[in-house]
Formats: sequence, C-alpha cells, structure tokens
Amino acid sequence: MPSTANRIPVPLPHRIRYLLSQQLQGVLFLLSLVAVGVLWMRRTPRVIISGQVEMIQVTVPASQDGVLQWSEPAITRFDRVQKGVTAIAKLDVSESLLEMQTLTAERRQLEAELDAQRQSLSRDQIEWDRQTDEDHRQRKQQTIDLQRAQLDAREHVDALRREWGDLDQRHRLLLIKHQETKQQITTADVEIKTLNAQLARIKSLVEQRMSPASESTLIEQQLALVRKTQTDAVELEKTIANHLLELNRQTQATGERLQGALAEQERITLIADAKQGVAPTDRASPGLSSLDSAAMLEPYVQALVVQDVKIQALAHKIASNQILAPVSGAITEIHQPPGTFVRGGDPIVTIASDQSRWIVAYLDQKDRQSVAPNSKVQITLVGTESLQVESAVAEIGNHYESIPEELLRNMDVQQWGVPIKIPLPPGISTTPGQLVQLVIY
Amino acid sequence: MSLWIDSVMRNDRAPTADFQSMLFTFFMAFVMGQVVGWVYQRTHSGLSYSQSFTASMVTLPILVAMMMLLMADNLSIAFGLLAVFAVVRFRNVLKDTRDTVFVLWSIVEGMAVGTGRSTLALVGSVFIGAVMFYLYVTQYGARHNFDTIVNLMFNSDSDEVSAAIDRVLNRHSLTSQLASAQEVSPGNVDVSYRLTLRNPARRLELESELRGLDQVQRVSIFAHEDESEA
Repeated sequence: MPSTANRIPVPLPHRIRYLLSQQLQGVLFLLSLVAVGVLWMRRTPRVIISGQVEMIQVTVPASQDGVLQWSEPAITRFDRVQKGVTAIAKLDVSESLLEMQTLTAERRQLEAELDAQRQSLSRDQIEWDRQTDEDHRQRKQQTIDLQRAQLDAREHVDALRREWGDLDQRHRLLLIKHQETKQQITTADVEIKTLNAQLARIKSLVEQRMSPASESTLIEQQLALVRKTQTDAVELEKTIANHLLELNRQTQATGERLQGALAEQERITLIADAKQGVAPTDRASPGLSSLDSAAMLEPYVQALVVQDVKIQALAHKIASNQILAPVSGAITEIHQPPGTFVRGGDPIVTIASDQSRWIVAYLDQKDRQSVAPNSKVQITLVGTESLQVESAVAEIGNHYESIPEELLRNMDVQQWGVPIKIPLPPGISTTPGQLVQLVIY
Repeated sequence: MSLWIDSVMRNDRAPTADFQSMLFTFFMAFVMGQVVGWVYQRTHSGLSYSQSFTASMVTLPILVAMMMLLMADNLSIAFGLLAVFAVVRFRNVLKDTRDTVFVLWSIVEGMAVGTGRSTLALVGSVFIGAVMFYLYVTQYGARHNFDTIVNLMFNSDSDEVSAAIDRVLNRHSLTSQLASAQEVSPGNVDVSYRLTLRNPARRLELESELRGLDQVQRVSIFAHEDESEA
C-alpha cells in the first residue's frame, strides 16, 4: 500500500479546478432541479386569448319631426365631434314658432276671460251680502213661528190624547157595567124560570092540598121581586147601551180630531226640518262660499294650465331643434342629407366614440373554469409588445355567443365563447377596435 | 402525493413571455439536457464518443426552448427561422456539433433582437453563456479526466519496481490509471499511465523521480488536457 506521507500538496487553483470538474455538475444539477421545482409550483394556470378594445358606435336620432338642416359649418365623415358642444344638425322650427304665437295669444285671451269672471263673481258677492241680511231676518222669524206652531201642535195632540184616553176608560167601565147588567138579566131569567117552575109545582101541590098556599104566595113574591129586578136591569142595560153609543161617538170624534192634530204636527215638523236643512246664512259668511267661487273659476284655471303645458312643450320642442353630439368621437356615417324631412327617432349620423372603457374577449369552453371575476390579466397591445399593463377581469358573461371575426384564431372556423369584460387601466392610449393580447392568470 | 402526481401529469401549458416562465423554461431545458447528456455519456459504446457532442446535448434543449418562446405560435417567425438556418447550414459546413450550437445560438439571438424580444434575448444570452462556461469548467462529457500520460519501460523481474513506481505516482497524482501494459521483450514491460497530477507544475519532478528508479529504462511524460475524445 503506497504511503501517503510524502504526497505533494495540491495547489489551491488546481484543487478548485478539480473540485469544479468533479463536483460542480452534480451540485448545479441539483440546484437546477430545485429551481425547476420552485418555479413549477409557482406556475399558475394561464389563459392566453386575444381581445379587442370596445368599439362604441352611437347613432344620433332626430329629436322630433322636421326638415333637417346642417349646422354651420356642415359636418362630413370622419369629422371629430365633442360631446354636448358640437352641433351636428338642426331642424326647421318656423312652423313651431307660428304655433307658439297662436298659443300665446290664446293664453292671453283665457287670462282676460278669467279676470272677467272674477269681477262678475265679485259683483255677485256684493249683491248676495245685501240680500243675505233680509233673508236672515225673515228666516229667523219663520223659525220662531215654526217652533211656536210645533209647540202648540204638540200640546193639542197631548190634550186630545188625554181626552181620548178618558173616553176610552169610561167606555171600558161602561162595557163592564153592561156585561154585569146583562149577566143580571140572564140570571133573573133563569131565576124567573126556576121560580115559575117552582110555582107551578107548588100550585099543583096547593091544588092537591099538599102544600100550603103561603108557599105559592111566597114564591110569587119572589117571582115578582125577581121580575122587578130583571126589569130594572133591563132598564139599566138600555141606559148603559145608550151611554156606550154616545161614548163611541165621542171617542170616534176625538180620534178623528187626534188624527188631524197628529197630521198637523207632522206637517209642521216637516216644514221645520226642511227649514233646518238649508244652512242659514250668517252675516259673517262670504255669501258665495269660497268653494263656490273656486268651482266657478276652475274651468278657466284648468284651461290656463293646459295652455301653459302646451306652450312649455312647444318651447321645449323649439329649444331641442338643435341636435348636439351625444358622445365625443368621429363621425363614421351620415344617414340623412340636409333638406330631408325626418321623423323623431330617425337616424341622422353615426359617431364612433373615443371613449372605450372595456376590453372585450371571449373564453373557450375549456378555459371557462380557469377564469373568475377579478382574475389578474396582463394586457399587451398588439404591435407594441413592450407595452404591457395589468388589469383584472371585471365581468364574465353568462352565455356563449359567436366570436367576432377579428378575434377568431382561424377565420374559416366559427367559434363560440363566453364574453368577458376587462376595464382599461387608466393612462394608456388605445384606439377603439384595437386588438390586444391577454394573459389571464 | 396524488396532488403532486396530478400536478406533474397535467401541467402542460403554452409558454409565455413573462420572466418567470422564461426562467422556468430555461432551467427545465437545462435539466433535461443534463439528463440526456449523462444518459448518452453512460450508455455510449464504441469509439466515436465525442465530449463536444455530449456537451451540445445540454445546450441544444435550451436553444430550442428559446426558439419556441420566440416563435410563440407565430408562423412567419418560424418560417423565417427555418430559412435563416437553412441558408447558414448550406453556406457553412459545420464539422463540430459545438460549432452548430454556437451558430444556432447566434441565429436565435438575432431573431430575438430583431423581433423586439429584447428581454428574451438578454436572458437567453446570459443563461446560455453561463451554461457554456459551466460546460467548459466542468469538462462536461469527458469520460476520462486526466492531464498527464506517463509512458515508461521497466524490467519486470523485480516486484519492487512496480511498487516503487506506484509510490512515486501516488505521491504526484490524485488519480492514476494503468492505460496499457505491453511486454516488448522478455522481462521488459512497456506501460502507460493516465494521471491527474496533484501539481501539474511539478511534472518534471515526477519524471526525474521515475528516471531515478532502478530498472526503469525509459520514461516519457505527455501533458494532455484532453484526449482524442474530442
């Protein structure tokens, strides 16, 4: 075994070189593996698609019917316009101006009629006040008379009722008495019959000397007494009957008088109620109530309001004859030449707006699940690869639709995708319709 | 574990031009190139092994990856690359694979700069340049690392001579390998050693010590940085 005691020392550079040649490959390989592992895990799913800066085209309609006139200077295609400042066209309003004069004159006439009506009402009010005082006095007197009549009628009715009540009570008493008398008569008849029978029997007995004659005499006396009683009862019954007749007559008369008194009382009450239904005029009231005056002036006021509305509408129509650019941009198309009669809503020009707020792109079905709202997006403007900005997905559509031609990967194959909207970061200059490259993380 | 496997199996993505993706691409290509080179180095049999070719195995994946980043679905750039490479290839006969790599590198760098992909050009040049230096420093692909060849002839009758020679070689070298031994005449053996000297500056001292040994008749030493593997 060779001894290592005398081994030549290895110089440092050679030692390093030897180490590098032997060890460096393995070390570097391991470090690279680690780097790959780290970078691999940090790789996030990405979607790379093309997008387009939103292109907004606004078609400007005519605000109303009319003959179209160009503003000065006349606009042409590709002219730039400014929102709310640049006048694109105007409509002929000469007819509207004539109509405005007519409406204004009508309004003045209506105002004059209203004033006349107010003056007439004022005069009527004065007359009314004058008549009101006299009517007030008469009405008061009538009221007092009515009240007095009502009171008298009530007292008369009460008296008649009392009288009728008395007569009725007397009638009842007489009826009772009459019934008693009749009863007495009936009893006397029965007793007489009984006594006659008894007398006949006694007489037969007396004839047969089986009974003393005093018994028949006694019975005859009784019989005479009963007959006398009966006769008195009959006399009394006749008297009572006459009294009853008299009472009936009186009662009937009293009832008729009572009916008359009640009718009179009702009549007076009706008159009094009718008088109370009418609101008594007070000297302090304005005569014709404010409600009455307002009701009488209402048609004129309403007519004025209607006229004002018409005038305002016409003024608005005249004021809006000038059509201003609704957005800033450039005119891409002119639909109607000057001198054309247009209806409200007809397109006049189309303006391509300068302002684009969004980038629109489409996701394939396979990428749909990889992208969510607020996903980070790296935007590269096509043609300026050095300009990259970042944004985030603002909105994802909820339907698949046909992808526009300019965004198709292959023009010959129709594709479908879900639209997404990405807001343009501020500060970068883009042109509507410009294509961009998007990397969505 | 299944998540890792899933991550490995389903991680194919289109390359993009951002820096992180670029780095990942280059490192991954470097790792794959190393694997290809080592496998080639270990499994090559035959006499036509070339260290330069093996080293090119490491660089080519990086260049091709850079090319794909450059093209990035752009057919015009792809056709342009094809045309340029065809022109260069037909105009220049490239004998060495390493030369081809450098030509390709130049072409790709030019295309990257020409298409405005300055970042890619810069990162690519730094990375590939570093890899080239790495390959040079580590002598990547060299199957035999030695810097000196010692040929000597000695009388083989005595065993002490061999032991003495081994002592001397062990004192002067980090590694030594008997490359060949031939008996030129009865009792005389001609041997050849491949050495990695501990201190190449003291090569002459090695020679003089060998000459000083008894029974050693002829000593010749060759300083050899690379073999005929090139």
